[in-house]
Formats: sequence, C-alpha cells, structure tokens
Amino acid sequence: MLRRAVHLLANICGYMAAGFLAAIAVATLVQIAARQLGQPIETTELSGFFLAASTFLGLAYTLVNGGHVRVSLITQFVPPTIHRAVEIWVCLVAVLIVGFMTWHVGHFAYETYSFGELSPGLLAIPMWIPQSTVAFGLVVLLLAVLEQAVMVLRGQEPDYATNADSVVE
Amino acid sequence: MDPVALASLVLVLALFILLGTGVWIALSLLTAGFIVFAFFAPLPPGSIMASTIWDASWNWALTALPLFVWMGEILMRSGLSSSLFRGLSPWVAGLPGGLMHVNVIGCGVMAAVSGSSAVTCATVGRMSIPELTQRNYDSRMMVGSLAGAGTFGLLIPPSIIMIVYGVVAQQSVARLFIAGVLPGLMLILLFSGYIALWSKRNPDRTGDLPQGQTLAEKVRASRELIPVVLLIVAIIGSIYGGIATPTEAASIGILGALILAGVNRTLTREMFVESLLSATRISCMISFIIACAACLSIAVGFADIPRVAAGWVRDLNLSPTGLILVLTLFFLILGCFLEGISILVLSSSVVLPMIHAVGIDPIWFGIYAVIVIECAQITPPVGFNLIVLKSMTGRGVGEIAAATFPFLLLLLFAIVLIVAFPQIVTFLPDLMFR
Repeated sequence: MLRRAVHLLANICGYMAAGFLAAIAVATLVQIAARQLGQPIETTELSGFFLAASTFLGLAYTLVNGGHVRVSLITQFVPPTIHRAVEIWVCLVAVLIVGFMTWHVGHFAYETYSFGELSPGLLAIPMWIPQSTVAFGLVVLLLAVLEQAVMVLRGQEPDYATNADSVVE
Repeated sequence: MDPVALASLVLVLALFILLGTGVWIALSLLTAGFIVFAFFAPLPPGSIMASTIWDASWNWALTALPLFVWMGEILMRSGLSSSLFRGLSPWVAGLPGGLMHVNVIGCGVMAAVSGSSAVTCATVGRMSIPELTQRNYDSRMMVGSLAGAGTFGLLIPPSIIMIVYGVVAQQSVARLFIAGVLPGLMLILLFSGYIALWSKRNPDRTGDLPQGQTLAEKVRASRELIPVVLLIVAIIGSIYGGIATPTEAASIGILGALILAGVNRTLTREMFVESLLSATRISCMISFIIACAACLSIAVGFADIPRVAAGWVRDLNLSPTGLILVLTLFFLILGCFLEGISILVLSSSVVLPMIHAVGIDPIWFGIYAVIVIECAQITPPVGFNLIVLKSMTGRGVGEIAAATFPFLLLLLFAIVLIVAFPQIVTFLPDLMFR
C-alpha cells in the first residue's frame, strides 16, 4: 500500500518533470516569437527554473525506471549472495547521501525563504519557489530509494535493475 | 604525506570503490565530494553542497540539453530511418562498397539533427541492418561501420556532450558546435574511404546493388530528405550566423521535428508522450550527474587538488602533445568502464587547469575530448553503441567490438590529424562572430 503510494508519487512527479521540460521549449519559442513581433520577453531565467524543476522532479521516476546510469559490471558477475550484499551497500550509500542532501537543500530553501531572497533577473520572483521544487524532488527520490532498498532487503530484484535495459544516452 | 596528495588518494579510492560497486554515477560523485569535503576542506559540507547543487541545476546554458535530447527522441520515432535509407542509397550505390556507405553518410546526416550517438546509431541501423542483410552485405563490416559512424552523433552539431563540456569548462556552446563541423566531415571521409578501400580488397564480400536508376529517379528518391536538410540548415545556420542561441535553435528544432513527424504521418499522441517521457528520463539522468559533479568539483577545489595538479604538469615540462598523449591513454582506460559524459564531468575539475597550464585552446580541447569519448562509446565492456547494436542484432558485445576495431583506429588517427593540424578544429570558429 505504502509502496504503491511511493510509485504513484514518483510517476506523478515524473509527468510534472516532463511538463516542465516541454515548458522550456514553449517558453523559448514564445521568446523567439515575441522578439519577431518587436515585443522582447525575457524567459531565459524562467527556462533555468523549469530545467531545475524538470531534473529534480524526474529523479525518482527515472530511478524506478532504471534511467540513472551506473557501472553494473561487478554486480553482474558475482554469485547471488554477494550480489545481494552489494545491492544492499548500493542502496545504503544512496539512502545516506540522498538523505543528507535532502536535509541540506531543504534547509537552504528555507533560509532563502526567511531572507526573502528574490531571483536576480527581471522576473524577480522569490527564489524559494524554484528551490522548493528541487528540495521536493529530492524528498521523493529519498522515498523511492527507501522503497527500492526494502525490495532488496526482502530478496526481490529491485525495479531499477529490472528496468535498466532500455537506457541509452 | 602532504594533505593534497592524501586528499587525491582518498578521492581516487572513494570513486573507485563507489563506481566499481555499482553505486549510481551521480550519487558516487556526490558521495566522493562529501568525503573530500568532510576530511580535507576547512568548512562543513552541507550548506555549500546544497547551494552548489542548486546553482548547477538552473544554469541557463544547460537548457539546450533537454531540448536537443527531446528533438532526437522525436526524430528517432518519426520514420526518418526509412527516408534516410531510400534517399541516400541511390547516390552511394555507385561507390565501391555500395550501400554500406549509407551507414556512414546516414549517421552523418542523423548526427546533424540529433545530439546523441545512441540515437544516431539506432535510427540509421533500424532500416539499414535489415536492408543490408537482405542484400548479402558483409555483416561484420555492417555492424562495425554502424557502431563507428554512430559516434558522429557526439561530434557533429548539435551535440549533447558538447553542451556538457561547454557548461563545465565555461566555453561557448555555439563555438564548440561550429568547431565540430570540419572534424565531423573529415571523419565521414575517413570512414567512407576505409569502406571503399576494404571493398576493393575484398571484392568477393560486397553485397548486391539495386538496379541502376536514372538521375530523375534518384532525385525523386531523395525528395524525402528535403525536410531533414532544411532542419539541419535551420539549426546549424542559425547558430553559425549568431541569430539564435543553442537553446533557441533546439526549440525551433523540436517544432521542425514535430512537423517532420506530421508529414511522415508518425505523429501520434502516444509517440509524443513517449518521446517526451524518454527525453525526461535521459535529461534528468545527465543534468543530475552534472549537478552532482559540480559538488565534487567544488570539494576538489577546496582541497586544492586542481592547483597542485596544474603546477605538477607545469613542473614536468610536458609539451602540449605529451600531455594530450597521456590524457588520451587515461580517457581510453576510463572509457572502458564509464560512459562519455561521466568521464568528462569526473575529470574536468583536475584536467581543465592542466590544459590551461600548458596553454591548450579550450575549444580545441573540447573537440579532442569529444573524439576520445567517441572511442569510449565503442570500447568494451561498456560502450553504449555496442549495447545498442547488441539489442538490434542479437550478437555478442565482444563480436561487435571486434568488428568495430578498425573504426576505433580511424578515430585515433583523426586525433593524430587534429593534433598535427589544429586548424581543422579552429578554422570555422575563428571565422565566426566574436
């Protein structure tokens, strides 16, 4: 039940990430069209925020779909017991470092919020808004990593490994 | 042991263990950065790593990356592979080696609209593998030329990896794109020349040719290529002329790719969503690696490793050519285990100060690095093009790598050429707007 919820959350964020990716293209096209009409609109800063949102909201979805690259050379050729130990180690490292970053990026976004920092461009929106998409994306990634770790501990093949074949650069 | 040497040792060991055990590359870089920070920098890691990862993730120059990835994903699904095959084959049929040249020239054309070597390889191979097999072409040569020429996707603009290099080395992506044009054309000539030479020497192993066509028939067959050519002209021309930034050129490219798919009647709702989701996953993976590598770079910088490494290279009195030779070996070894973007971002914080120390032009070095990474795409056990062709032909990675070996040597020969004649790289960007 809980695991289904994590998957659903990862997928929803993945679709949002896709939306933000398309939004970069739309914003840039609007900028080009406006320039032709003599109405300069500045969307480069907005595109940057969309990029950050797209990258981080997509993290968990990409993980579950095996999209993050790793060197699977050793894990492929060791006996099953060691294979499982290695996967547990991989998940442990991931939980620790993602947990660490989630905490600090969250704290960082909160500080920007309490200082009332505005973005440097013409847009001048509060910086905590785009930063919170990054922090939230990391929270969802942490949940997804924990969920995958549970699968490994139960002796199941995690989703990031079963889905990994479709990855190309 | 002095602290910088100790920090370097710890860094190398940490990366070796993390990457070797299969921790995701992005998270390996982040963890290694944390370790270096925690033990060798005078500041607590948390807040600096948080602000660094944020700064690296909304970099405007990087917005071209997801757009070019998406464009490639649309074109891959747009039915372009059959247009390429039908449009190019009448023109190359007369050359020694026959339709085998479709692999090389098709990859060259595809590379000029897509930024990735795997997309280039897969799009051309989807049509040329069944067609060439049916006409009894030598399968070894077919697989080898496809894997080799697929790597043009990295060198011929637009190129994902050049955007990554431009961002980490703070160089103009537009100039890098233009600098890749002549070396790309040179490699097409080298590859096609090798195929021609090979088929002259092995006349018994060439395949069947289609029956001769009149000029009018040839022109009619290549009409299908007009949209692609327009797309290439629009993208490269607008960047070269300074009319559009790479991001703007990519947005126009996406529009063009969607129109092209519409003309080919392959534009469906599913195709649109699938291409967008696939692009999201790929671009998320790459952008996250870049953001994590920024954290590693800043940690390495705080530990003073780049300055000491650059000083060390200066003290060795290595000539630029000597340094390039050493770096080529280093990148080729890394390339056996890592894919290109990871190699680039992993090594940049230490290697870039080194090339600065011996006075190598950073644009030239970008093109050099891309060609070395092309080699990495086709060296076993980890080479993306080998894996793509493995899934398309069902052959083993070792067999495909052996078939690709002559083309690997040609890539290395191209490096020798651009070292001897750096103008091949610098001529076009020097003509460009400043």
